[in-house]
Parts: sequence; structure tokens; C-alpha cells
Amino acid sequence: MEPSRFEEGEFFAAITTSATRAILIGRRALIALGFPLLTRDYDFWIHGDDIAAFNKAVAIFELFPSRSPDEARSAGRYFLENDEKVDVLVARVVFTVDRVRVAFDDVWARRRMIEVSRGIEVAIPSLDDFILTKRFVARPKDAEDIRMLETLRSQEPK
Amino acid sequence: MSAPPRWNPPSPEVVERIRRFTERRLSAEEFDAYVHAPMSEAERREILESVAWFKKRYPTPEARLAAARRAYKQWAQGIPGAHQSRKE
Repeated sequence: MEPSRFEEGEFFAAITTSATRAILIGRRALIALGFPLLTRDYDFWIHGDDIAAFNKAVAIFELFPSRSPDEARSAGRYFLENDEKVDVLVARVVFTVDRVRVAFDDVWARRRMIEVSRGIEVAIPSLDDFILTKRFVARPKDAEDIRMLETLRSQEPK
Repeated sequence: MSAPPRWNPPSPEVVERIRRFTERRLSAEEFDAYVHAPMSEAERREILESVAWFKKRYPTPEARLAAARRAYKQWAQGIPGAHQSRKE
């Protein structure tokens, strides 16, 4: 099978150019911040109204959505896949394992930008919000990531 | 001197079993116990040193992301089923 035509810088550029409200979360964002981790997936949290625009932006990489926009909005998530995989959270509100309400609009308002390719910036959550997103699924590896994020935060100037 | 033993990759079944174990959802209590477990000074230092090393070796987010992609590809070549897709 032919590998897909995927180039990471172009992928991020396509998302940025589409002007979708998309926040890079998960381990790929942690890697950008400086954590030496391995991951296969790209994880994004996007605004529920931007699903079609997001899908269109990455269609050039032959990434195909697992659900229609309406189905994705109803389920709160979907993924795009070929030999790359992009997990997309689309819920407007997600609750953490201990029932803390986290709204996309609030995380979006507090987002930080990080340059992931020359002249291309993507949104990532603030450190506090990052820790909250790691409490959505609450797997052992999310707990490990929170411990690393907390350690990094402890180094930040007060 | 004898040759070092050859590394045999784990079977797909073992990989799947480990994946299920590490990707399981914890209860709020289990999760908090994990997050708030005391951190030794050695663990804290190791985290900070590994971040410092990674950022020095790959000074930009772009370089870090590219390095991680290369490392994942290399790792996945030796792990059966590493590219297997998970269900939503």
C-alpha cells in the first residue's frame, strides 16, 4: 500500500489556514512543549461548528472522517484516518473524571499559540487547561502526563 | 565472547494486552491517587532533565515534533500491531 502524502508542517498549515477553532491537545502538544514522548495520534479539540471546515482542510492528506458532522456532534468525537490518525473531540462541554465542567469556549479563550513550523502557529491549551483535558479520559498515562505538567508548572515564575 | 541474545518482539496478543491495561479508564479515586502519589526529588529531577535535554537537542517545537515522529516510526517497526487502530 502506498503511504499517504503527509507532511506535518503542511498539515498544521492547512488547519491554521482554514481558520477553524482547533486546539492541539494530547501528547503531540506535550512533545511540542518539550516532553520527549512517543505517540501515534494527533488529538484536537475543535468547535462543533467547524467540523466540515476542519475535514475539508485535511482532506488533501486523504484523511477520512469516521462520522458525518452531525453524527460527530451527537457523539462528541470522531477521528480521521489513513496511515495517520487524528482524534477529534467536538463536544462543547466535557466533564473530567471528577465531574469538573470544561467548556471549549473557555479553553479557546485562554489558548496559547505555539509555532510548530516556520510561520505556522497552532493553538494549545494553557497549562491549567491542559491538565484538565488530561482528566477527561483518566488513563494511567494521563496521570503520568499530569505529573510531568505539574512539575513543569512548578518551574514557572510566579 | 558469545553474541548478545537476539531481541524478540512481543506477540500481537501481548501488545494488545498491555495496550488494554495502560489505556484503561481509572475511577476518580484511582486517578487522583496516581496523580498525587508523592514524587521523589529524583523523579522530579529526571522529568526536568529530560525536558531540558529534549529542548536543547531539538530547540524548536518543529524539530521536537519531527524527532518524535522519527522515533515513533522506528519504535513501531519493532512492535507488532503498533499501527493498529483503536476503536473510538
